[in-house]
Amino acid sequence: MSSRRAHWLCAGLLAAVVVVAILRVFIGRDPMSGGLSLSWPDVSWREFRMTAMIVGGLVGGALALAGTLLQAALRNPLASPSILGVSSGAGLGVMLALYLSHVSGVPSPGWMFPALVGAGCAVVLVLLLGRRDGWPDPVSTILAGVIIATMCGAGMVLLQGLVPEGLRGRFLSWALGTIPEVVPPTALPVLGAILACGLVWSIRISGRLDALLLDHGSAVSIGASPGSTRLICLVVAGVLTAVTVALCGPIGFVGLVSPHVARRLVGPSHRLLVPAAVLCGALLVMGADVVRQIIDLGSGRLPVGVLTTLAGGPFFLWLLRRGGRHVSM
Amino acid sequence: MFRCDDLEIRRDTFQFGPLSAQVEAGDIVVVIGPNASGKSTLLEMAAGVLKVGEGVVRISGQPLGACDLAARAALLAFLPQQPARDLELSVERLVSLGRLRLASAPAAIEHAIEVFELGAIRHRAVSTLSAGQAQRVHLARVWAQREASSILVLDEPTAPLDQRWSDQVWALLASHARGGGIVIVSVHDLAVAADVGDQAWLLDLGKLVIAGPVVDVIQPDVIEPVFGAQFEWVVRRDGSEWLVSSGPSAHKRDSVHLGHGSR
Repeated sequence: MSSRRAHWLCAGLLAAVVVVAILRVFIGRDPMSGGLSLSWPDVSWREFRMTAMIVGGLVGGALALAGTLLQAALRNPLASPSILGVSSGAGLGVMLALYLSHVSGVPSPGWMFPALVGAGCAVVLVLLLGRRDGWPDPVSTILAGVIIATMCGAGMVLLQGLVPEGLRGRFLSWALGTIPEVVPPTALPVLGAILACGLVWSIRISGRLDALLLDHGSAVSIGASPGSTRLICLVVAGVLTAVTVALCGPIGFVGLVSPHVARRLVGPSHRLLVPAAVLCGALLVMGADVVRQIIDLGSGRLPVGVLTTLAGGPFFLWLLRRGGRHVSM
Repeated sequence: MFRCDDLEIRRDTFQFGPLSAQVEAGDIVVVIGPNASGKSTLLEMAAGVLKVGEGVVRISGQPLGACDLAARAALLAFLPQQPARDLELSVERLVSLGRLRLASAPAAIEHAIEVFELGAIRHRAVSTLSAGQAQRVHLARVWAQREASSILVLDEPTAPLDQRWSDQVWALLASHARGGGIVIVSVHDLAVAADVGDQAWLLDLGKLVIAGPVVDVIQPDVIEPVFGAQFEWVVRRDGSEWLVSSGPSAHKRDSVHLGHGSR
């Protein structure tokens, strides 16, 4: 892969992201005919659509970055943000908060805070359980993640049976992943800052991320400190995922597929892979949100996570079949 | 000078050490011993990859564990027995990772690529290479990382290589040692070990049986009880002596080594 071509591909991805972002703002329901309209929204819609566009871009980028870091840290091409148990932990946190407010009569503190707490607990637990000699071990971490995720899932189902339907509200659609059009005022700056810091940091340590792919002995020999690098990667990925899950619920397949698509475009070296994957993730989520907007015309009932999974799953299978070795790392 | 003191590992199934040894600049140490005698364990501990318990590894008097990552990478380069081959990284990228913590040196990277004749495959993914080619790439990484006085710790570096590349690698390692470096290398083939080594560390069951000049250590009466096989020196056509096992497999080994050429 010549680096010149890779740079052009990154520029192309950026252009595609801009186009999809514009589409997201312009596509909507025509209030007169009720059909599809493509125009600059009037002031009553503008803020909603801008918010959804920005949230989609940031969340897609954050999930893709988390997936890239996880696939490097765990030396596993199938690693994705769901592997740390973050999504299930967040879901359990939400259900637990709903249940406690139902039992105690105290109003629920909304979804974001319990989701963050649940996600955080799950990540810490997985990191503690996945340790070997003080540092995260790829295989143990993956196993711990799968077990924690399954247990949180079971707990979630249990609580669903205990919380009355009316209280659950739109939990099901949150659990499949939606892009909200209204968010707390602090959410966007916080998410944007975390993504920006994570992106800059990942590009700065891209050499060490490359070295994580090596065997332990070689990585130690060149001074890549694989243990601590791995731990920081997992923590950063956990934070990125927790914030996105709290905001949008678990959006499937973005964190898994985006790094693979980016790898096909710009190669496996992280200096270009990281920004390319972030752009792919933003493109995928915003694109899916545009498609959702076209399908359900702004009624907002269709969870975007359904679309990313429906589109991402077959696409990943196609990559697997076509790419052969390329899907491995 | 490289020195290790009281390296020790206790596990349920395996006890290693305590082991102390040292080597002066300019020497090649061959680490020999039967299967499961602890050669790889010793090399991993010497390279700081495996924790050494109470023991300590010192390079010119300085504990290796106390060095920062850049100093460490410059002092010592390690090649494990089975370096990762399932890498999508390109050959060039892997070689350049040798300089991850060190001053950027495009010349050193280019030199390493040239020495190991990787120019034609520099943009290929390591995963697409043969075992021998991949080993050359990893050796080139070590070569790019190496400074003149570095300690190179290599675990059976020539195992996947063909005869020409084995000879080439031994010549390169000899030149590194003569230039003031140290090479600590495990070798399965005792004849090769006797040929390339200056010092030999003989291990058995996780203990150092004897350490000393190769001419004293690699002798039939010393190694026979450890390996449980018979050895003898044969004289080759050029007059040099070559160690062969005189057990049932002697004939096969003979024919392989007699075609080896002199060094």
